[in-house]
Amino acid sequence: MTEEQQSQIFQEWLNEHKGILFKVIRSFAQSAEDQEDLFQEISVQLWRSVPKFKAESKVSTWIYRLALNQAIKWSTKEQRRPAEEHKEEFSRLLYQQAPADNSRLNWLYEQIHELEQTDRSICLMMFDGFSYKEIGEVVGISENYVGVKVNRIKEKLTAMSKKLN
Amino acid sequence: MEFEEMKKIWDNQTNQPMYAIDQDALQQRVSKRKNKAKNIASYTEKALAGALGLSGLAIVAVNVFTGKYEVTSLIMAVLMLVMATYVLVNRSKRLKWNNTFDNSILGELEEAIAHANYQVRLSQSGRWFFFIVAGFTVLSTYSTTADIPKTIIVIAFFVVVYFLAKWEHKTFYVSQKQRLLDMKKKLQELEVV
Repeated sequence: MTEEQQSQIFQEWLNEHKGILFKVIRSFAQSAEDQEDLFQEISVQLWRSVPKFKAESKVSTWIYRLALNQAIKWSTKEQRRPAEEHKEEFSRLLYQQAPADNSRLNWLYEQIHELEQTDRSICLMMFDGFSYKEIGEVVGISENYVGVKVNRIKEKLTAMSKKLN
Repeated sequence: MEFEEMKKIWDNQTNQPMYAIDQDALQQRVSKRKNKAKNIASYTEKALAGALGLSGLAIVAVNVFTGKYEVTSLIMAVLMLVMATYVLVNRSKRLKWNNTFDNSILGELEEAIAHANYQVRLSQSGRWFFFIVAGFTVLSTYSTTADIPKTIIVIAFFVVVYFLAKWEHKTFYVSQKQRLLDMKKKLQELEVV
């Protein structure tokens, strides 16, 4: 694959599926600096992954898998980083656009962020309509166990929303 | 709130633009990187030209004052002065194209990449020149002293310096250029520039 072809495919992926990246980023990183940092890491990995894609799964599943793996790695690395490094001056490039009423969406992201990493990944894919089989393949657990986890997550989110009310 | 409602909230976000690029912050960051690349190139040129020029002149002076004209050291001195001139000529060329880029984000980024690229080339030429200087120094040391341990120490010194220079080349110059190229690629992919 030539670099030009790789760029073209990457561009198409990014245009079509950037929503996946932003959702994963927002669920794993909270500050603007962290979101940008994670966005950079995922973008670079996505670019590198283009020649490895063998069309054995949907592009969206491939991107989800890569973004989630990268986000989990990033979270682990972030936890090990000394606090001083976070204070580094960093001008914001990406900023979140505020829609008219996003309080409920913000709340939802906060709840997703509170979930344990695997549940967080399952929750994101569940909201985006992936099948249990696809989620299981990405997360590395059986289809049945995904079903169990999905039910628990739904119950948990519903319970949290009731508390909020 | 029921789960179905959450799903609706989730799906609605897909139709909204989620992030935007802060153009001012981006311009500032690119300018900062450009100035950094420019300063590194300028500092390296001055240090290299100064060190080579002074060393070359010092070798010539030693030959003149002692009255012992040694061919290898004189050739080395001439090469050092040639290299110092080469660096200064390149510097003046660089200063000419310095302000030919426009003030857009892409223009500033292109300028930063040009500086970083120049720095990488300068560092690469310096490496070739290093081999010539090292060769002549070793030859000169051996021909004047005929002392093998001393010659080995000189060789060892150059080997260490070579690896340090290689590390510096990769760690600072090549990686800086790569970071800028990555940034350009990313911005083009996001259709910002």
